Amino acid sequence: MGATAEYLLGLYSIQEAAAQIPATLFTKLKNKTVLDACASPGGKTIHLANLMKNRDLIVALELKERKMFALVNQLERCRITNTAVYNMDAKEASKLNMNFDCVLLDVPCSGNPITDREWFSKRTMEDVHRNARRQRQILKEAAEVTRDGGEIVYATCSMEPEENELNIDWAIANLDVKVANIKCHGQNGLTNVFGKQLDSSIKKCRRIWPDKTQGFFVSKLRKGTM
Amino acid sequence: MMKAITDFVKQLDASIPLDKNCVVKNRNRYYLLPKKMKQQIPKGFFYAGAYLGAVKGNSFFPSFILLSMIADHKANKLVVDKKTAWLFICGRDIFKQGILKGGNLKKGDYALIMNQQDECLGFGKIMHNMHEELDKKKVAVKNVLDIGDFLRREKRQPRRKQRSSSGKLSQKPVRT
Repeated sequence: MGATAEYLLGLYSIQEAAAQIPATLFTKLKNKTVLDACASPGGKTIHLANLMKNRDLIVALELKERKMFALVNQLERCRITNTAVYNMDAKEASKLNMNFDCVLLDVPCSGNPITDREWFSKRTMEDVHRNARRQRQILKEAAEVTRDGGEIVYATCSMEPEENELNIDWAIANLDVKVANIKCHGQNGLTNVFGKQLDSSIKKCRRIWPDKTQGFFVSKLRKGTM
Repeated sequence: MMKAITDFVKQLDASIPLDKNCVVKNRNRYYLLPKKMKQQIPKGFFYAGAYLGAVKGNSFFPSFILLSMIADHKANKLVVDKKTAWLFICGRDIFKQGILKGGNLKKGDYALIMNQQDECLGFGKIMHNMHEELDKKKVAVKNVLDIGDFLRREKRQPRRKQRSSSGKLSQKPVRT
């Protein structure tokens, strides 16, 4: 599928079904400035650019220089011209001195056994906790650069509550954000994790159990007053 | 700053409107930034707007975005049949029998290679005067750049190590 003339001409892209959800969750993308904070390999950046009809502005960040190549290769293939890419850590997004209406956080996570057969042998709880800490730092920075009333879509392909519901619960308690309603495939987010009662609004998040798609978690946060 | 780009465009006997105030050079790469984007984004970007191409040594390497922009205007173009289009994307040169349109180009000219849907597949160098009779076994157009390069570039990139020297799998976070 990735070696056809149509693909090379940028007429279509390939994306896992659940990964197609996050970019569609923003209420409105017209005339908006969008941040894609963890952009490589660029599937969701291309999706956002298409939804925005290649207009307005997307700022895409990627920390690892090695991964920048895949991102810019995708942008050129799909003839995307509304995107600026920075080799920058999402945790330092405020250094751009910009504010954004929409922020997509497809954060680095521990993944899930559906997409990685060796997941159980290579993951430890220590990894999960380390990733969760990093994700909170990215969430905090995202809340800082989001305009009042702006939206943050937070997504992972992990099934671990530490990287999903517990992070959202932490964000509600510590950042000026609230969970917004979303309409998409999946079950409600968990509101009771390991015996701990979480904020009831977390049920608005969506947990997509691995079945016809990979495992996925997605939520939308709105900054400031609802 | 624009000379490398305009010289390349001229080679294809074309002319495209490029606002030089919107063309930005970043390291050896050129980008066309819409005015609003140029005002909005901070310095230090890695890639922005429409990537036009890169200068390496004395040569200019155009992007496919630039080739598409040129293809929207009057330029040297050759339309090829379906089989030839696929072979061209695979990096092969073009024989005269595969060319459907564009028979007046001369030896040494450069031309955009278009498929029958008017999509630009790359560009090539004309090896023989096109109006002359040509041996079927001789190459008519030499492939200089084609869109199959997107795949070849990926193959040229070094792969990430999956296992450490101890045989343990890496524990890096994943991204979908």
